[in-house]
Amino acid sequence: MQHTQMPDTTDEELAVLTISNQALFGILIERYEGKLRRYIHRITSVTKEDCDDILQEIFINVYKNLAGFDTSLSFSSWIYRIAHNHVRSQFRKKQARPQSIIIDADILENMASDEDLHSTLDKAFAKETLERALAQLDEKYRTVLVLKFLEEKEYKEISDILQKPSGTIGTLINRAKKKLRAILEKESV
Amino acid sequence: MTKEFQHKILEALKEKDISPRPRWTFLVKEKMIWASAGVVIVLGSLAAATTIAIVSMHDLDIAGRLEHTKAGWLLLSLPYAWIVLLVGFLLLAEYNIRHTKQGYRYSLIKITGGVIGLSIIGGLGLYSIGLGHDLDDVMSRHVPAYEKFGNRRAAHLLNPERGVLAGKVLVQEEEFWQIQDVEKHIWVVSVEDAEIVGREHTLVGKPVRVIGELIKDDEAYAFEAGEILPMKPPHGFDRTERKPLRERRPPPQQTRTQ
Repeated sequence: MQHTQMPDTTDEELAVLTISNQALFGILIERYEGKLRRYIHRITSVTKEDCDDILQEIFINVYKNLAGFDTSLSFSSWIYRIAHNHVRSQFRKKQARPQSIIIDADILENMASDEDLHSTLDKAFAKETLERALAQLDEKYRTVLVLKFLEEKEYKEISDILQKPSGTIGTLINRAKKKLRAILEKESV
Repeated sequence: MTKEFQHKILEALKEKDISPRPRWTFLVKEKMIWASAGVVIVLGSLAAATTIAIVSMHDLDIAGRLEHTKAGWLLLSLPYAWIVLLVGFLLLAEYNIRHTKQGYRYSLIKITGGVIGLSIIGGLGLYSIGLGHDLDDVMSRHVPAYEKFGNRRAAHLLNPERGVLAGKVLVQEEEFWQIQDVEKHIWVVSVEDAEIVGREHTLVGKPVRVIGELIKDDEAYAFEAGEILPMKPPHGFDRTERKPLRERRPPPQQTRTQ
């Protein structure tokens, strides 16, 4: 089969086809490289070279486990899960924490529109302050906020990625927002 | 970057001859997790059935004589070793279910509730067909010191100072019986004036509860019986037959009779 973009083929279909045709894996890499690279940078602090190595390991892991892809999930949730678990196991010991998380203007707007963060973000507001504040959060809180506001995932997707019940995700996001608000308020004083 | 990166990964896959793990390995792993959860739930049900069987023989009729309230006696009589085992099985089942593909979607409360519910329903079912009693019996035959940690009923009913004795009948004669308690002491019990409830032709080899009075005797374990009550299983005694004193060679050391 020729290696093309195959725009009409879903990720899930591609995952199944890739098992018997390695070349198609290139399309999945193309679709997810940017997203996963950004995600890795957002939840940990690595150099570009390290990020390349991690991404390569993640994709090889994904390829090895393609036949175990749970079709009740979206492929996106599944690949994010593998990436999340891989990064977590790699960096758990090192306690690598990003010094700052890069936030685009539209994401800032997205976060500011959240009713729990609205008033604080109005006050705090420098984009840099928010970036630094996110970086100060504990890993579990930073991760849920990154997935919710930066990666723009739904609760169910976050639940599938982090392998926690949806209710727990809701609680984690609420707590994370409270903690973020506290850090922002402290920074703005 | 993307094309170059894609190429690098596809090359690495080729160079290292990496291929996707076969689907059956994932299926087997998932089935194994479910199977082990199932096995653990069955084991939990067996522990629950035995717990129910032991608790059902509560000896509340004797609690007052031993100066216990009914609630206090029930608490004392609970088979804690079985309950700990049951909790262990429940935790294992819960761990397995949480590690199935979909396990993470259910809250801890739902999984715990489900596992406890299944074990209790299974336990009641197994108890109703007699498996609780049977397991207690098997354990009392084959597990050393089972009466000290598994089914402590016989130990709780060994309180001669308060006029309660439980043991297995070794010799049954008109005036005196020999009864071996759970600590392997052999008692000479005077039954001359005793009322024997549910009298059978012979009680030799069977455990009984004796209500009466301790006879102070430095030479022997002696007891005056007022009432002899049957002791239905599960009682914690080894149900294998034992020979009475005079048929044993050499004579046992632990008795002070003779």
